[in-house]
Amino acid sequence: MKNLSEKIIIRVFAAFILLIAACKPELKELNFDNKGADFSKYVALGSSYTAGYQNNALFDAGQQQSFAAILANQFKLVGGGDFKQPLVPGSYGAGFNFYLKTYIPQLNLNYGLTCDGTSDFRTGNAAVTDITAIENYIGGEAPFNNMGVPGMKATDLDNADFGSLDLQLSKNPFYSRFATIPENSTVLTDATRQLPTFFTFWVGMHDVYDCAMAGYNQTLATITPLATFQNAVVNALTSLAAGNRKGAVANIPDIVDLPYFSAIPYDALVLTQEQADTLNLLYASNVPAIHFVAGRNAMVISDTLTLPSMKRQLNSDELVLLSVPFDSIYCAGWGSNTQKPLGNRFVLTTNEINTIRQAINSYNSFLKTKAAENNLAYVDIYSLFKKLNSGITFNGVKLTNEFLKGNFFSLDGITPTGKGSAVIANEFIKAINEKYGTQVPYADVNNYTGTIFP
Amino acid sequence: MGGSQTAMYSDAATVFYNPGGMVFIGKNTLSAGGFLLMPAVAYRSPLTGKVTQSDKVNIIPFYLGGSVMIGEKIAAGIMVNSPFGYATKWAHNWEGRYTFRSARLKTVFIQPTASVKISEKFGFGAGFVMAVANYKWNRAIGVASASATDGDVSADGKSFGYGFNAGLHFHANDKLDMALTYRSKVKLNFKNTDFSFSQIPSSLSSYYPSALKADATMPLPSVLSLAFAYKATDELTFHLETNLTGWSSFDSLNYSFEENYNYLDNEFKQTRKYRDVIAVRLGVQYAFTETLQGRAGVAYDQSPVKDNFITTDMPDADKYVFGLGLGYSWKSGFTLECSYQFETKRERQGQNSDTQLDGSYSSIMHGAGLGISYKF
Repeated sequence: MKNLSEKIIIRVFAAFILLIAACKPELKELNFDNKGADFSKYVALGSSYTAGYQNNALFDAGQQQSFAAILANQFKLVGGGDFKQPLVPGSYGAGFNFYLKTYIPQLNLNYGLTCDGTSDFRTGNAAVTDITAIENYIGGEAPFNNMGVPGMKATDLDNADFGSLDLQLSKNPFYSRFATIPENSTVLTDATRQLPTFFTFWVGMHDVYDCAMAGYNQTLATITPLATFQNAVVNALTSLAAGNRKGAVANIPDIVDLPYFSAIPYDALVLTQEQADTLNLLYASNVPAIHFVAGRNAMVISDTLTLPSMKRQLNSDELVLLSVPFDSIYCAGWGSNTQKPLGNRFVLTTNEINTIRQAINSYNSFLKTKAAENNLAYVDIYSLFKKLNSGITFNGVKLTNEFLKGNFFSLDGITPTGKGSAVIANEFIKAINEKYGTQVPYADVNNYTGTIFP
Repeated sequence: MGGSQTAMYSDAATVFYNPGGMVFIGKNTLSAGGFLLMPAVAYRSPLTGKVTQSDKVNIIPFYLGGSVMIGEKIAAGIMVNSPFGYATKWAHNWEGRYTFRSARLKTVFIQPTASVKISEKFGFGAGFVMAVANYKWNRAIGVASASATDGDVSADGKSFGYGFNAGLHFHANDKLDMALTYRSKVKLNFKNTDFSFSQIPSSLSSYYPSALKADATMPLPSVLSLAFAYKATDELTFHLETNLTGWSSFDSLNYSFEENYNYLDNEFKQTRKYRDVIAVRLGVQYAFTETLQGRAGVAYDQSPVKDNFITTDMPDADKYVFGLGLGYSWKSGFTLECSYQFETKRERQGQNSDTQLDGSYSSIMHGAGLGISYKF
């Protein structure tokens, strides 16, 4: 017995000595592997999201956190090469209204007393708009891995005029600034001549969104017809995916999932009983169908199809656009005053929404087919953005599509913040890893910039 | 001895572990001691593949108590100790900073206990438990301003709670002792926990005011123990013990904020959904000489935490405990004890359903103990 107990004691003691030699818990870093996929030359083709356009403008800080730049950083961990971007010099830049064809200032966020006496957030124009920085030609430094051009449509991909230094001709300053040979090279030729080993392809958004953002005002912008879109995509993918080149194709999100279309509810008009009575009296004589109550009310829009008044209240599924100045609704009577119905370009009606969504759906099913045909990863941004309605939580931080507080979308309500771009980059990584069996590590979303609150 | 001391009756620790056995000591006792525990955790994200080691932190549980014989059949005692507690600290900017940056739970139990010898072989004891606790934690909030990339929140709550303990001791013969004990659940009411928010953008300061109060309750579990001590020879004693710990009473830590700030309730809710667990402990005690005693023990202790509710304030897992101890007794009645303990938790992986933080965790803990007791 004594012998046995001594043995036990000695064994326990020996095991104990081995164990206490550890001073830190053992956990090894994961090794990631490209599993044969070559990320050494990654070229990104796309529009505003790819370029890192945010807060209505192109500027260095936004470009540094474009989804393409974040994706390239992750590729670097599995053999990816340098990712050169056509960075805007200095800290400032400018934006562009793609349907009005004019420069616009970068947005910033303010907080303070608003016109109705409450404290709230308002976007305003940044102090500095640096158009010179945008027009500064840097094509001599080409090639650039990030070929994202804000506002680019599918039809612009292989259009030499798109790179014209003559703004009247190209009507988009963001490609001409870095085109290899302005008016000769195209986004597509500048991309393919780099002989990329991997590419991302995300076009088609502006083919629909310019028109949607203009309130489906056909004189300002139209939706690219499906056949035209298809031809442009086939033309691009034919040269990009040649020789079994690997890549990823992303689809187009639904408009209702972006704050530009959802930040202002259709019934943003909040009235007291007294205010409602006054308005009802004014409308009673000529548009009796329009009726207000105490509390929330659907706003009044001008609608040529509603005869004879050409005015009606919004239906609950219709959208008011972020291009309406908040103060005009809350203090200047827009959408309530008999003389100030919301104009056509600030609203999407049920029929317009249906047409837009139909275009998005048919673009997406075509993109999906082409991705499969060319053995490319298909990145389902449409479904990703749907998840933003309930929120995407990453390591304890919840991102939603709520304007400003949601942290996912920038101040323009269309393009993502750095955090939003990182979530998008992770969706690309997920699709790429699933398609090619690669092990590209994911980005830490929380290390990127969200809404900067005043 | 891996914590396998329930069936013992040697010093004032008996007041806590084995109230029914206290009367069998037959003498008055005084004990005091403490431990220095040094936990360390490693976290690895499956997304980024990076490993984060926790920062150094110490936990110092202690005990202080004594018992007196009142005649031959009754003993009364009191024990002040800290049976529950943990501490974890992470680097300021670690990947999970929005879950926890640091957390510390401290408890002190004060328990007056009486023990009666029902017969030569049976002893019964019961006591009242008063608990005081302090639960503090800190984490980042995902709001940024031009001057700070994250907001910061700290919570600091104090609590009182009550419970009881009871135990039956069976002194079968000179070789075998058995004990059955029950310590009740203790509900800690963290009333008026102080929440302080800092580095919040000024435009959000009405949403996260610098100081707020919130209430929460945290149950400490009941523990049912069955223990045996078998004296194989004059020198050698074996101890075997099993505990059933009723952690399932811990469903979630729900802070309820003062009026007008109820929207924060959900943001700071911690779902726990613990399960009841079993621990098995085995110990040996060996008298090298009349004055020098050696002890060794091992234990297997299940974790109450489920995979999808692992939290970074205490990333728990099933653990193995190994302990060694030495005791030196003087004829005067003094005994000096020193011990070393090592704990290793199984590596485990899980994604918390509140925070979506996914990760693998591995933990170890070194501990050293020093105690003195006096029998008279």
